[in-house]
Amino acid sequence: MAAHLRITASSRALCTRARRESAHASTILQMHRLVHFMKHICSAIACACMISATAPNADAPVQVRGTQWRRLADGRTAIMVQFTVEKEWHMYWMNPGDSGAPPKATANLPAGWKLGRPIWPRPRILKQQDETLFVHEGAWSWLVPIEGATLDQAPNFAIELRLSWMACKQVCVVGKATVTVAPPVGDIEPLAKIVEGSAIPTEVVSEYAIKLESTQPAHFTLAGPAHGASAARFLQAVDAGVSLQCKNPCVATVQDDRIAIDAPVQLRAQDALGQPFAISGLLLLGDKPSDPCLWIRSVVISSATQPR
Amino acid sequence: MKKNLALSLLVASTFAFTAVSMAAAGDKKKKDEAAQTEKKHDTVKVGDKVPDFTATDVNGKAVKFSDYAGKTVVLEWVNPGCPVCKHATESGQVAKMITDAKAIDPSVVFLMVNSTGSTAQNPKATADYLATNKVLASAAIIDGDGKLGHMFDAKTTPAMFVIDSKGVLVYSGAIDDSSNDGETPGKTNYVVNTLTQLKAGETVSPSTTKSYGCGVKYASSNAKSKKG
Repeated sequence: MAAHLRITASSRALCTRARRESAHASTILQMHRLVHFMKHICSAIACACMISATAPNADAPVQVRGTQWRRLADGRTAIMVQFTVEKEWHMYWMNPGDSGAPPKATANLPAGWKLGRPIWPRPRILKQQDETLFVHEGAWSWLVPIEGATLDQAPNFAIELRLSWMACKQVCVVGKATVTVAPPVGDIEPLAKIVEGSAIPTEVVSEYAIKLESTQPAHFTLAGPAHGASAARFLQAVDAGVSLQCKNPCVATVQDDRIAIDAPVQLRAQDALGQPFAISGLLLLGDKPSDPCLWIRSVVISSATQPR
Repeated sequence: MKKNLALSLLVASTFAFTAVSMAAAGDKKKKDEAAQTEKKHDTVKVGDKVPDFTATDVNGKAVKFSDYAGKTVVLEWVNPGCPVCKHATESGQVAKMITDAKAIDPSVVFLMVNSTGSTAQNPKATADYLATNKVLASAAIIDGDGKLGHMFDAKTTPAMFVIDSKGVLVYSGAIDDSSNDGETPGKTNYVVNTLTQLKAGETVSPSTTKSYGCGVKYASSNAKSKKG
C-alpha cells in the first residue's frame, strides 16, 4: 500500500512535472509562433509605411500594393512588386504591342550590384479597335531581380526602388512610385509558378528545338512538346533588327501533342546596332492566364550573318 | 400538275437566291481583299519613296509635301491629350530636338501631325498646345480622317518619321532610346541621330525602332468601336 502510494505520488509528481514542462514547452512554442507572426506583421507594416505611392483615384488607376522578396529558380533574389490596376485599365508587358509602354524600375545600388532584366507574368492579348496590345490587368506582380557580386546573396541594406509606368483605358496616364524595400527577414520564399492567377515564365528547356536562321529567306523555327495544350503561340518581345513576319503572336501548329512554328523573319543589320541577331519572347501554351509559358531566346551564331 | 409547277418554281427560286448570295459574298470578299492589298500598298515603309500628299493645317490651309522637295522632312505624331506626348513637349525635349536638328541641317522641316480623332476635332487646341510649348514647327497638320496617319502606319504619340531630301523614308519609330512612359529622356534622340548620319553620308542606323506612347485613336476606329 505504501509502495503503491509512493508510486502513485511519484507518478503524480512525474505527471505534474510533465504537465508543467509540457505547458512550458507549449508556452515557448506559442511564443516562437507569436514572434514569427509579429515579424511578418512588422515587415508588412514596414513595407506599407515605406511606400510613397500615389493614392488610387480616377486619375491614378494603378496602386503599388506592396513588395515581397522572392527567390528565383536560378538562385537570384528578386523584388516582387505588387500592382493593382483599376477595372478596365491595363498596364503593359515588356512588348506593349501596338502602343503603350512597359513599366520601368531604377534603384540606387552599391557598386557591383544591378537590377536584372525584369520578369513579367504571362500577359493577356487585348484586341481593341485597330490595336493588338499585350497587357496586365487587375492584381498582378512584376519581378525585379537584384544581381550582385555574389548572385545567391540577399541584400542586407534597404533598396530605394523607383518605379514608373503607363496605364491606359480609352485615355492614358503615367504614374510613378518610390518604394523603400527593407532587407529580407528570414528565408526568402521561392517564387511560385503561378502568381495572382498568371503563369510566371520558365526558361525554355532542351526539349525544344529553336533556331533563328539567317540564310535567305531568314526564318525562325521552334518545335517541341505541347504538354497537352491544344493551342500555342509565340509572343515576340522587342528585338533590335529582328521582326517576325507573322502577326504577333505567331500561331503554332499543334499536332500529336507537338507544337511547331516556322515563320519568316526580317533581319535588318542597321537596326541591330552591332549586336548579334537574336529573337526572344514567350511560348504561350494553352489559352488561360495560368497556362504555362516559356521564355525563349535564340541567337544567330554564324559570323557570316552578323551585322557589321 | 399545279403543285409540281409550284414546287419547281420554289426550288428554282431557292437556287437562284443561293447563287446570288454566294456571288455577293464572293464580291465582298474580293473587295475586302482588295482593300487590304490597297492598304498595304499605301503604307510607306523605310526605304520607300514617300508619295506626294496634301494635308490641312490648324488654320485650314493646305500643306503639300512636294512644297518641301529637296529638304529633309520630319513628321512627328502628337496628341495634346497624351501624357507621354505632353511630357516630351512640356519638358522642352521636342523644342530641343528641333533646335539640335536645325543646328545640323538648317533647312530641315518639322511637321506636327494630329490624327487622334478626339483632339483633331479641335485644331485650335493643337495649335495652342504647340505654341505654348514653343514647338517651332513649319506646320501643324490636322489629320482628322487619319489618311496621313494610316499612310505612315503611325501607331503611337509620339512617333517620328524622317524623310530625306530625296523623298525617301529613312527613319521610323521612337523619338529616343528611353522606351518608357516619358519620365526620362533617352540618351540618343533618334531624329538628331538620323540627321547627323544623313549629313555625314552614312547609312541611317537604326532606321526602325519601336515607338512607345499612347495609341493613335483614329476617328474611323472610334466610329467602328462605337458601332461594335
